[in-house]
Amino acid sequence: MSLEARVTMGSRGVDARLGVEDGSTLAVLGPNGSGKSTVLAAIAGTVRPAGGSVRLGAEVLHDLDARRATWTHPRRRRVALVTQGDDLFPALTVLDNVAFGLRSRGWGKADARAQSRSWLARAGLADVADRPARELSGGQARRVAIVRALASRPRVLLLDEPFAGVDVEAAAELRALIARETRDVTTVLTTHDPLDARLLADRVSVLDAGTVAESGSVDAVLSTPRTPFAAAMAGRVLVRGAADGDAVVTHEGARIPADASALAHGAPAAVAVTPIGVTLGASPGDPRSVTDVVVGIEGRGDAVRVRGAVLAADVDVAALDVTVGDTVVFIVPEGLTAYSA
Amino acid sequence: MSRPSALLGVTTALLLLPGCSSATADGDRQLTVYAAASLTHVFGELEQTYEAAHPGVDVVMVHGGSSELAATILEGAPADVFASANEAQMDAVRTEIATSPQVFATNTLTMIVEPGNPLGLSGLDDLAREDVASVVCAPQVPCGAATLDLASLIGVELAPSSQENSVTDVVGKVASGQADAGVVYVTEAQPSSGVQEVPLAGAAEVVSAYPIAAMAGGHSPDLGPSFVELVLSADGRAVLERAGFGAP
Amino acid sequence: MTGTMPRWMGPLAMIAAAVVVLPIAATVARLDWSRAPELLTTPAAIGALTLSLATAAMSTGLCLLLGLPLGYALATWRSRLKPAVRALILAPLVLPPVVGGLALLYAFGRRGLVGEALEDAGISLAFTTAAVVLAQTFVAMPFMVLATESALGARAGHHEALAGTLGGSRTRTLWQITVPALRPALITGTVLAFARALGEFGATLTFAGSMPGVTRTLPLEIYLQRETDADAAVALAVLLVAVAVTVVALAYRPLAARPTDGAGR
Repeated sequence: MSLEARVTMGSRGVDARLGVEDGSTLAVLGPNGSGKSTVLAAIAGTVRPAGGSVRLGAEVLHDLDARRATWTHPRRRRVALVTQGDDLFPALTVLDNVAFGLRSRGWGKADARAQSRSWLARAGLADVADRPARELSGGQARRVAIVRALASRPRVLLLDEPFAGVDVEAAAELRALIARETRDVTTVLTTHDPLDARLLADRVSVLDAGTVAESGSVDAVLSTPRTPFAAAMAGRVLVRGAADGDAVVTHEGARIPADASALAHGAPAAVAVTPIGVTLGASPGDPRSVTDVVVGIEGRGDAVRVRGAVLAADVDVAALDVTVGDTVVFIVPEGLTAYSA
Repeated sequence: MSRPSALLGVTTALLLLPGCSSATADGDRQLTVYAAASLTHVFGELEQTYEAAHPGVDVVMVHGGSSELAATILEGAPADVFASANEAQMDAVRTEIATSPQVFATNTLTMIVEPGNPLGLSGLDDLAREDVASVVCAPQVPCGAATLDLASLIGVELAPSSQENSVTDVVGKVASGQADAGVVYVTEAQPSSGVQEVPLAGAAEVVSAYPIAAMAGGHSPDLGPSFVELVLSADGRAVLERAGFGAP
Repeated sequence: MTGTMPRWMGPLAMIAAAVVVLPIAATVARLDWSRAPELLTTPAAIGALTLSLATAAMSTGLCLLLGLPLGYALATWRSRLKPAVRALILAPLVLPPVVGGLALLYAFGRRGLVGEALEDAGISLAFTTAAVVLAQTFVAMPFMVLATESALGARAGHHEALAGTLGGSRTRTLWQITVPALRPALITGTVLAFARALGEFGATLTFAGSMPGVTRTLPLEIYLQRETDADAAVALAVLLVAVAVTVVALAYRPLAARPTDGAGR
C-alpha cells in the first residue's frame, strides 16, 4: 500500500508532504533539526502533529485537517518506528523484545519466540537472543530494534537516522540488513547522508527547515539537484545560469565548462559540481578553469573546503596556500553535464 | 573534649533549650500539679480558687494517665503535687513524696450506652451478648482492673470488642457509635459526652480511691501542701461531689 | 558527588543524625537485655508482633494494588486541579494520628458516611482486623502514590510509545515495560509503606480499638505495656525499630538512584 503523508507542526516550523510507493523505500534527506524525526513520529502516531493527514492505500490513519478530525491509535496503525534513541525494552531479553510485536498481535508465546529466533538468526543475531536487551552494544541494539520492527510485520517501516550513533563497522552490517530486509516493505528512512539514500532508497525527499525542498528519484535529486539546499545535501555545489554549448554561464558572467549541447542556447541550465573533484589550478589558461574569489575556508575532516563565490574545491590541508579574499583558479573535472534548471 | 562529644553537647543543649524557660515565667511563682486525667475539670475549678487566694502564684496543671504521670515524676519532672487515680501509682512514686498521701475522692464504675439506650441494656451481663459491641478499659490500667473486679463480683464473663487504654477512649468509642456500650467511671458518664448512663448493680462494691500528696521534687515545695489542703477542704469536696466523685 | 560538600555542613549533618539517632540509641540503651528474651516471648508480645506483620503486609499489598493506579492516574492526569488533588491524597502524611483516626471513623465508622451503608449491608468494620488494615492503608498509601507518580513523571514514555507502534496493548505495555522500569520506585514505595503501616498507632487506636490478637498491633501493645511494665514497652519498641530498620536497610534505595528511561526524541 502506498503511503501519503502531510505533516504540519507550527511550533517546529514543519509543513512537509511525503509519498511512498507500495513496497519501495523513501529517503528523507535533511540536516539535524530539519523536522525529520517529527515527520516520522507523526506518521507512526507517537506524536500528534498540529495538522495534516496520513493515508495508507485507501485507509486514513489520521486526518487532522478534516472538519471532524480522525486519529488512529499507533497500536492499530501497524506502522513500526525505529528511533535514534535506546529503543529496546530494557527489562526484556532480546528475544522477547522481538517477540513483543507478535505477542501483541495474538501469537502464542512459543510460536512468537520461535518466529523471533528465526528473525534474529537471519540478521546474524542468534547468539544474543537470550541476553538482556540492556547489555547490547549500540550497533547490536539498533539491529535488534530494526528486526523487532520488521518481525511485527508492519505495513510501513519508519527508520529515523538508523546509522546515527553507530560505529562504522556496525553501520555497514546495519546497512546490509536494511537493504536486504526492506526490499518489499514500504519504508521511510531519514538520514543526513546522501550515501544512505543512494544505497537504500528508490526515491528521496530533501527536507529543508521542515518543508520539502525537492523530491524525486534518488539519481535525479542527488545528481541533478535543482535547489542549492538539495545540492548541498547531495554534497554538491549548484551553479545556475544559461546554457552556452560547452558551458553554463552564470548571471555574473562566470563560465563553467560543462556539456550543455542538449539544451538550447541561453536556456536556463544548471550544473552540480562535486567539490572533491575540483582542484586549485595555477593559471587561468586551462580550458576547464574557472576564476573565482575565496569567500570561506572550512575544515572537512582530512580535507579543507575552499569555498568560492561560484564553486568550491576540497583540497589537501598540506596544499592549502590561499586565504579568504584571494582570487583563485578552480579546475573542474571532465565530463560535467549541464541540465535544464 | 573531642570533637564528636563537643557536638553531642551542643546537640543536647539545643534539644533542651525550650524546656529551660518555664520555671521562671513572668516572675510569678509556679506551682506544678500533676493530676489524673479524670480530674481535669475539677482541678481546673480548684486552680482558679487557689490562684484567687494566692496572688502571685501561677498554678500549672499537667494531666494524663496516672501511670504515665508517675513515670514522668520518677524521671525527675518537677511536680509539687501529685493526684493519682489509684493508689498503686502513688505507691510507685513514694520516694518523691513530701507529705503522706491522703485519699481525697473515690470513684465507682457505671455503664454507658448510646443516648436512648436503643438496645435496652440494663446490666453487665448484657455486655456478654453476641450482638452487643462493648468496650472496656484494658486490665493493665486501673479502670480495667476495677471492671474485672466488678465482673467477677457479679459473676459475669465479659466479651469486649476492644480493651482501651483509658476511660476517655471508652467514652469516645461509645459516643461515636463504634461501640454499643462501655464500662467507665461515673465521673466520665456525663450526658455532655454524648452518652447515657446505665447504673450497674453492685458498682458500689468496687471503689477506686484517689490519693493526693505534696511532692519533694518541684520548684515550690513550700506551696504543695497548701494545694493539697484546698483539695481536702470542704470547698474542694463540694467541687468533687458536683463532678460525681464520692467521699473517701 | 564525592568531595563537594562544604565543610561547614559536616557539623550540621552530625547534629541532624544525632537528633534522629540519639532517641533510638537511648531506647536501646534502656533495654534490659537480661529480661528481653522473656519480655519478647510473652504471648501478648508474639501475638502483637504477628498481628502487626500480617496487617502491615496486607495493607502494603493494598497500597501497591491501589497506589500504583492512583500514582499513574496522577502522573498522566492533566488538570489545574491536580496540585490540590495531590495535596489531598498526601494529607495522611501530615494528619495528626488521632485526626486520622477520627477521619476514618467519620467515613467508615458504624455511623460514618460509608460505614453506615456497610453496616446496613451487614458488613461491620468496627473492632475488626480489617479496620486495622484500613487504618494502615490510609496512612501508608501516600508513600506509594508519591513514589509511583514521581518515577512516572521522570519517564519520557519513549518505550511505551514504541510498544504502541508494535501493537502492544496498554496492559501488556504496563507489565512488560512500565512496571519493570518503575521497579526501584515501587520497591521504595513498598518499603516506606510497610514501615509506615508497621508503626501506625493513632488511627488504629481511635478507629479499630485495641483487642489482643484482633486489633492490638505492636505499637498499641507498647502503649499499653507502658502503663504497667516500662521494661516490656522498651523491649517491644526496640523490636519494632529493629524490624523496621532491617526492612528499610535491606530494600530501600533512594528515588532517582538510577536513570529511568532511554532518550526519547
